[in-house]
Amino acid sequence: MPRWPSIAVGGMPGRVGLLLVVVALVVTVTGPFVAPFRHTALVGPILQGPSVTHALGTDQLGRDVLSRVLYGGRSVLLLPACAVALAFGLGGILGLVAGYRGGRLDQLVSRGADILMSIPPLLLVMVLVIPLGTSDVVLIATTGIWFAPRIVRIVRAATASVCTKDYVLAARVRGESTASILWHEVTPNITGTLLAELALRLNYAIIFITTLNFLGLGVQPPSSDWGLMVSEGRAFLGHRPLISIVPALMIGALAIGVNLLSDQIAVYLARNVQQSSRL
Amino acid sequence: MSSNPRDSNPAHRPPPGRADASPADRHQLGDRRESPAGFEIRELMIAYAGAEGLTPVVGGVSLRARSGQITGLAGESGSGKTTAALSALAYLPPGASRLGGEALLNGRSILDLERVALRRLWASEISYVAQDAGTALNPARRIGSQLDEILRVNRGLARAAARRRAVELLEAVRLPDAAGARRRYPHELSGGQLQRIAIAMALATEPRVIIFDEPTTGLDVTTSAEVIAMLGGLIRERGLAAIYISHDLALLAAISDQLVVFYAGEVVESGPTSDVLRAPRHPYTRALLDALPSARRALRPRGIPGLPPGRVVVERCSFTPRCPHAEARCREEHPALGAIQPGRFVRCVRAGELGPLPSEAAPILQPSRDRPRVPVLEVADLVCEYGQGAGRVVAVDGVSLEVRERQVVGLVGESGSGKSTIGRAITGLLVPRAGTLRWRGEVLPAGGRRTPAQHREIQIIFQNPDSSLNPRHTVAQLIGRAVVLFREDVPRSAQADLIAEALREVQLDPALMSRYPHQLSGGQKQRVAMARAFVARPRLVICDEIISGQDVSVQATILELVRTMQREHETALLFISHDLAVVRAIAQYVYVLQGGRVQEHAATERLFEAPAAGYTRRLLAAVLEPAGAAQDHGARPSGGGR
Amino acid sequence: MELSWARVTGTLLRRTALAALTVSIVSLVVFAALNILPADPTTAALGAEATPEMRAAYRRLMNLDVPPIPRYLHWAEGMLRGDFGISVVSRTPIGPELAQRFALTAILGVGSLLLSVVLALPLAVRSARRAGRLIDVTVSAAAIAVSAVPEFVVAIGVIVLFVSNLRWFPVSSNGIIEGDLNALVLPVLTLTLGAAAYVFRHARVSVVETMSAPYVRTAVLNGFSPARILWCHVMPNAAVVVVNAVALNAITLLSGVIVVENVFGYPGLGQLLVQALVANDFPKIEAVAVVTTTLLVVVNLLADGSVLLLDPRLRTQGAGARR
Repeated sequence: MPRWPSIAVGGMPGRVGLLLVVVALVVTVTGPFVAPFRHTALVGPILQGPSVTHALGTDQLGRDVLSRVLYGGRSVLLLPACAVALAFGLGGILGLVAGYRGGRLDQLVSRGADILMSIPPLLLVMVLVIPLGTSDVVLIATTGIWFAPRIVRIVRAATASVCTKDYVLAARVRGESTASILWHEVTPNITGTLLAELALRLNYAIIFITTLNFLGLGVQPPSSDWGLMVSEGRAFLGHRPLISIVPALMIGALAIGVNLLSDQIAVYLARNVQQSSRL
Repeated sequence: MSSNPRDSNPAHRPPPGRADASPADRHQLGDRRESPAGFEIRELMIAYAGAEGLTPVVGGVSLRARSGQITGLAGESGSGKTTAALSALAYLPPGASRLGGEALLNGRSILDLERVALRRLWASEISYVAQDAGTALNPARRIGSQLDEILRVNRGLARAAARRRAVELLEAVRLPDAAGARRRYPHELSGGQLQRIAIAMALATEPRVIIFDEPTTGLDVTTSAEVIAMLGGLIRERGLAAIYISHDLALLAAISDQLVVFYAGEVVESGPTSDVLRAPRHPYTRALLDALPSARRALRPRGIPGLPPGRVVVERCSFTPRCPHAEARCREEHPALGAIQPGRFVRCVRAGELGPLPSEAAPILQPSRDRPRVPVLEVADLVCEYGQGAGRVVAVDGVSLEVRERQVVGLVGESGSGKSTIGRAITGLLVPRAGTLRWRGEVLPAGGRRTPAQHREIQIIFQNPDSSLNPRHTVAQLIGRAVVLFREDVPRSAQADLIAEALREVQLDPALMSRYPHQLSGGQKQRVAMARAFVARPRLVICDEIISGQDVSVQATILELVRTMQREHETALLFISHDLAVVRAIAQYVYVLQGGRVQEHAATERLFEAPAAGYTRRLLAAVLEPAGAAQDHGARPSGGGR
Repeated sequence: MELSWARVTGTLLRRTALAALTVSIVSLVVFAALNILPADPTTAALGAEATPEMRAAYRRLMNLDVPPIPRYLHWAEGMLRGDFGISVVSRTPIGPELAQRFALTAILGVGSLLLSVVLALPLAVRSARRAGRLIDVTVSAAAIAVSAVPEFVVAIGVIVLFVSNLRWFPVSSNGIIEGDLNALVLPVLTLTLGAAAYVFRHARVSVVETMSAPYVRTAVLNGFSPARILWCHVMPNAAVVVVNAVALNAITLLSGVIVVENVFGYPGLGQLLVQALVANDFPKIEAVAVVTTTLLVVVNLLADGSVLLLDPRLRTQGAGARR
């Protein structure tokens, strides 16, 4: 697949998106090693403004805001990524098989996905948190399971449209097995769509999980997850706005970056499809 | 004419020159229709802006369309005819710009008008009928609403009057159930009906000039014939100046008075249609005529080697690389369009010395009557259905046929006749409702449960190479799949060589192995599909409409190629097509299909010389052929000549 | 035509049945999560330090000695009758409070949705017509930014701007109960911005795509004015996608409502849910969950219905004999 590297590089929005995502990744991965203090350490007077030792000031418990921000990217990036991976794993296989086979299996899967998709997500997770607790695993599992139907829908639709093409028929005439056809013929043609959807889902997962954290239903204190920080800093918006604003900006930057990337992939895909039918 | 309320209202009285004027006015009409006024294009040059600067796609095109006459624009895809026509209407496609030239309507230049004046022009004097009526109509609005809108907005009719006029127009284009059609949405009607509606909409504004852009592409032969007959009548009756764009020379022969041949964005020949087709002076026109298969004469179509340039060529004659008469001076200078007689133009420096070009087509050689061969495929009483319950359609209703070793059998029928369904059933893609399939004496299991040998021995080539070649595989991978599956006699190390050999057999450069399908032309893609089918060493190759959808010159080349491959590999062919002429050119035995049943079957020559079934005779009669497609070579012309 | 209405009604009936099924499933899941999953419901509700008397009282109140399935059916039947149960915290019926909060949330949600369409559509059309120019690029960039970030980030931004700096509006919207309309402004603004951005993006793409459709070329060559082409030819087709987008937006909007109510202290369903969660007031949680789901499902149905009405292709079957 020699053409993939040019995806994100082409076009201004793609480049901006890539930049934002890379910056967020760097902060997330290297943050804890670069931070001047630990995110739980009480290192100064409370609610101080920006100073030489504390570039972003201190929060209501006396912790260094900058350090907390540097530690906080983990859950914002890692949890959504795992959830999306889970959703793709589950939904992808189901959608592939349903799209290829068609018939009753397809109908059943589609109906099931439809029903699951109409369930209000936040509501469901909030309710499930009570018996199951707020651990990382629960968050990932519920988010992943909630996203799965959408993935099933997308994969199924893409597979079904590919299966109407003659090259799939040609493979059947050659006597190839279902698994072989799905692997050799179908999957290469839906990776583009999947990639675009992956980026989009990541965006939604980030929104979803940070919102849960914000509402106090996700990761718990003393974690310095950005969503949690925004929530904790709410009371001090007038006095020390940085406590909320900086993590909010970080979340915003990451979300926008992922969104721009997914747009770019979608545009790239559309252009490719056009090209191949031009002749 | 019907009592037209417009006649009583002086404000709406149509100016003289319109077809629905009163009989008294028609007297004056007489001379006006014959006047040289009409639509004229002069030296039009259009270029597209791209990464490498400007690419000229239309170079110095001049032509004139007179009122009451039909001027045909002939040319293959990419020759620039649609771009030229649209640009002449002052509708530049996105990215295009006019480098020079003008267009005149009754002497008035129209390319420099401002938007408002241009809109008025489009609204009342010029109409354009697009190629695919299905997409050219608004899917979210009813037919009646769209038609009435034109009448109300462009002709100023009141609601009730517009409705009545709309029904009149739909009846004029012979649309059955005009009132019912008005209430429907585009997706509820068939291609033929939509095309008539598009024509009605073009006529609604009572224009002076209409441009038809391949309006019958994609329609059945019989529907096509009806639409054309209706068109011809309407145009002459109303004194319109019509330009008819088509790649189909036979169609243009039937309908146009003047013919303009396009190649590489330029006019290479023009003149009265019968003259151009009977005595072509430009080598391209000659080659195009020779590439046409004929249902009426037993002639072999000849392909044109090479590919047309995608742009205007200014340094030399654009046809030189493919021209059998090319000389040194053809490569040095760009020929101008010269008049060899009044009204007869050719763009060729050798036109004078070459004179009218004779046909190069050779008669079909019938195979010697060799000893009777063993049947490899036997189909008995095949029945195939689609859908369930109320929506059930019987596509194939008790068809029996037979294909022998190394035989080429043609399966011909219009759309809906079930021919493709038969192909699908034979390859195992479809499970038949009833009937048996025997392959070399053994019953073929229904569905896909066949032996590897059976999978190898029966291959299929599909119609659309864009769809039959996986866009994510290289040519090497595409052919390689067949090699890996079916050529176990070839060791891994020799596989690449085999693929190269397969490509050379279909006259493709082995260097194309690493290319992806979208980097190839339509003809090249279809050849890759062919290579893939034949490399497996099959005994039967099913060709499902493999040349429809390609340009004429490419069709002939592919046809030649498939015949060569068949002979060299000693395979049988089941050649499925809707085109009688193509089937005649290649098949030894023909089955004629209609409505899922075999109407007639016989050896090719017998079927075409003396068709027994009424349906076959009707089908043959509906086929259009250009006059003088080829000169006699001793083959007896049959049927009604033109 | 007669056939097509039968099809439409058929489809709508099927969707309604599906919707009812969805609500039932949600109620089942919620019920199970609260009553069956926890090892000991009384601990989950009252905490580990509850005395045996409290637990007994709770068991009596919640009918916990009855096996789960009849309990569920009893509860479901009550819901259908309009009896939403009794809050274990306040010992009062949940119904009236639910109704009031529902009304407030409905105002917030529906109001924002309508405003978002009113705001986004004209902007989208203008952007589509001037695609690629400065106004399009700026508005599109803003829309991407707003629609990509979580609602609470937008909310914080709104607060920083309007409360901390401009001091135009109060941060707490509790005042709405007394009819103080100022309290509506910030929540509605936040929700509208988010929803409008989403609708804008979809509408813009839809209009741009429709504008390059072949039938638009036909309309141009028929000599129609740009205004007529836009409103009579482009919009009827683009509208389908827009309605679809608005419908999809309804689900996201609901999540947004919960967040916005939380941030601004707006006394709606979302806040009720959060309070109930904090207090472990299970009957209230169940009641709010069911009502919210029903609301969502009804909005989806309405959207489905409008899409069916708008797109003629969905209503009838193509009669053209396509090969």
